[in-house]
Amino acid sequence: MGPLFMSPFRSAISAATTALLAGGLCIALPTTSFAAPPTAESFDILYYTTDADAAQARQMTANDLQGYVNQARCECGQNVSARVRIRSDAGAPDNVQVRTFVGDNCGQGQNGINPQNRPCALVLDEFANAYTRNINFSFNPLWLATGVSGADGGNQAIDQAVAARDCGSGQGNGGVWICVEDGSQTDCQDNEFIVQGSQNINATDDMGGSVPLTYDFAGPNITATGFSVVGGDGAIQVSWDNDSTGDTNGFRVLCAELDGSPVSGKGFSPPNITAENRGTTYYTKDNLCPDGPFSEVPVDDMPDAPIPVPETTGSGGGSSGGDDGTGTGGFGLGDAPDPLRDHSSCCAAHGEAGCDDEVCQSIVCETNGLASCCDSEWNQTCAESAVRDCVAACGEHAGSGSTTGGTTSGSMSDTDSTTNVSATDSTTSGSGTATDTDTDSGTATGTGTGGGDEFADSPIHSLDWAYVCSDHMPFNASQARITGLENGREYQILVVAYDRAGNPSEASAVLTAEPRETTDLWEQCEEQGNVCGKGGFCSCTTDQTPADERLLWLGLGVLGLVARRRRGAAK
Amino acid sequence: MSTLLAATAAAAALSSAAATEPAKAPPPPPAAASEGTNAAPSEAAIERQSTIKTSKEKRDRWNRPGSPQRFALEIKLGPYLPDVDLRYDGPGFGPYGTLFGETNSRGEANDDPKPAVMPIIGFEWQFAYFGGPLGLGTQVGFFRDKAKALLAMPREDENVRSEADDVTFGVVPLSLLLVYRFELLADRFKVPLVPYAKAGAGYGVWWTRNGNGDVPTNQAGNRGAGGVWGWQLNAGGMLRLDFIERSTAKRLDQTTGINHTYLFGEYQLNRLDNFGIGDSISVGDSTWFAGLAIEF
Repeated sequence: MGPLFMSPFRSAISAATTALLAGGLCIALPTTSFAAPPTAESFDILYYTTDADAAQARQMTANDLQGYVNQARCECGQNVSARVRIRSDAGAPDNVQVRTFVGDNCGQGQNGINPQNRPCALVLDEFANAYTRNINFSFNPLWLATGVSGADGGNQAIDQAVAARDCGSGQGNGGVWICVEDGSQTDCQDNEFIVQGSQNINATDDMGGSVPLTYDFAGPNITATGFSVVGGDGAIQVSWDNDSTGDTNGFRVLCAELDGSPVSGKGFSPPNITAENRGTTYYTKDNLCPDGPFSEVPVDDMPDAPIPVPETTGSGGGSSGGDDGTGTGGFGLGDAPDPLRDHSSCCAAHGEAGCDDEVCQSIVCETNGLASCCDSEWNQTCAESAVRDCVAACGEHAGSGSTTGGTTSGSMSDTDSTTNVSATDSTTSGSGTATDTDTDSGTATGTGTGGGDEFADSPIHSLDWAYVCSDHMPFNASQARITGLENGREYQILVVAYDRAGNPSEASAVLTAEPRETTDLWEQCEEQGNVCGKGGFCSCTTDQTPADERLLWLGLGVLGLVARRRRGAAK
Repeated sequence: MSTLLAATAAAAALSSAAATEPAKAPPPPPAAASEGTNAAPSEAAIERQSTIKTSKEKRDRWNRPGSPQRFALEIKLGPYLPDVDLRYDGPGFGPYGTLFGETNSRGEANDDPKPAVMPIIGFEWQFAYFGGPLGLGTQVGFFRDKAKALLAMPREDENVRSEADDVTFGVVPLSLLLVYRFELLADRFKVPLVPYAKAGAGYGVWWTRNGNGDVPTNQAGNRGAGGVWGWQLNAGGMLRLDFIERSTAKRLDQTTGINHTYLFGEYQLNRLDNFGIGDSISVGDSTWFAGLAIEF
């Protein structure tokens, strides 16, 4: 079309036609341009990480594209920066209206045909000429996973829009969507999106295609049973049965003193927020932005239509829940309840005062002294309090099914038989978690003991990196040994799994164990009369008795005599 | 065609010349022969060029048939239990027996340790023949034993073993041996039995590991690893397998240079205890091995 359109003959006809239409039909036509409208190939799109000040940090690598956008970054509002421009070799573009959005499935969202898809946040609305220079912008990672709410008239401008949901869950591929107006309608239509999210020049896959910008706001949902700890000599042996079928990428073991303080000489520095995520670390909101979010997006607590969890792509998160209400929970405690499924649940934050369980409501508002939960808003603090103390109410959420194939399975029943980590009862970890109500003391052997309620409030649940006592272990790991501990001293132990994006799973229960001194062969030899000698690789002359020494010298003398006789015979 | 005519003419001229001078050397082959297939090589030429000895040819001055025989390789397996407690003369079990012995339900040793299967590989250079090859050989084996560590201070009602800690003991016995194999009967009279004997020096590399997988250090500051010298004797018999199918054995020799294959068994007396000098660990054993060997 381009070359033909630009040919002199075609140009002359086009100009004549335009003049005829303008003159004869008296219609005011826009200025006719002889350049082509930009195509997808015209655009260079690059993604960058940002620092705590939202300043552009470094260009994203393939690792970043697949693992940068996680739930903690979303909650902390650590923005993604992008650069868009029309390539210089793409020629002068037709000066049409070009709109840039950020999100997932923006085409359908813009159409409004499917009410489950929300319109994406609008970043730029400029004529094509503006794109001939670098246009830098940054956006909250939340916009990759959700569209704008109907609140505030559905304003799509990213600095004014209200997000339809929060960072609670979801996985998928988002990115920059570009719509080139064809002038037929005022708004962008599905077929006008020439760049559809996955285009960038950061990295290419094996097939030469762009590596999409992945967002993952859900931790791995793994099946890990038989969690046990046992004390060794200056060490604690941790083991679990690992059936990694979800998107678990690794494990870390956390340890703490019995009083909950970090173990001296253990712990790691929190991962640098701009460092490349190679899948060996996990991120939590508290660790990533301990001083509060870097940026925030207003979220509509009650969007006017249910927003589905976006379609899962690539590595899905764990096992799906079945219709029969069975399923597997997280590492130890099952998935967090989905706030989008139940807007009045005691176990999740929502915008209303009070919750759906009177007993739990009473515990939280009266017993725990959080009156504002019943007076104004059931916020995250209220939900955490409920999860911690309302076993009856929130236990039903344990083991909620995960998302597979773009559908959300039903919530699960109590996880009496499917909760993974034994050796505890009603242990709570972090926010929005449900509890296991059935198991009692654990399978910890030797000196390991069940954690139980005793450690429900242990700060080790914060997953702070000061408590991390192991290196990254791969997804198929099933045991770890924490060394460098003190014999006769009891320690808290917890295991957490995480996915490629660094989202931690629900942590295991907290077990305790006491390292105990053991005896090896070398020590046993010393204990029983030092019958194994001194060791070493040249022990042939060590510790001779006088008799041994005489024997040695006698042997050497005989050898010398023989040698002398042989030399004499040779002469 | 012109070449053929020329060759024919040349041949005619040569034949007429030969008729007149019959005492001359035989005529060269016709020119046409160089354009077709080469003549088949003679038997003598094949014999001269061949690298494969025929079975009829004697390989050395002792008239043994087949290709030259210079080396032997053997692989064998057998039970092995290092005699670590050799110097222990106290009550009950020695340190090795206490840790690696058979245990009761509380984890306490109540019987001697069971030997583990040790694999050994041996190689030999046969440098002389006196009714059988005399050679210099070396062999290397590997032994490892593992047990749950003992709790240093077990409580009264609990198992004395740690669930978390495994301790190990390993030995790699090395030896340099003078080997003699009496093959005269097998070579000359087709008796498929070859008695043999080996004698030489040994060196046992050994190590212990504690529950953390580290080589421990005792209170005296000595590391639990080292090497110990000793001596070794082997005596055994080999069954030469050539008799099962002699033609196949000959073909194997012709194609690969393997003169003989054997099934063998032997008794080994291995004393690796620094010749009894000083307070050294002992890691030798008196045991037997069985395996397969080839000479080539």
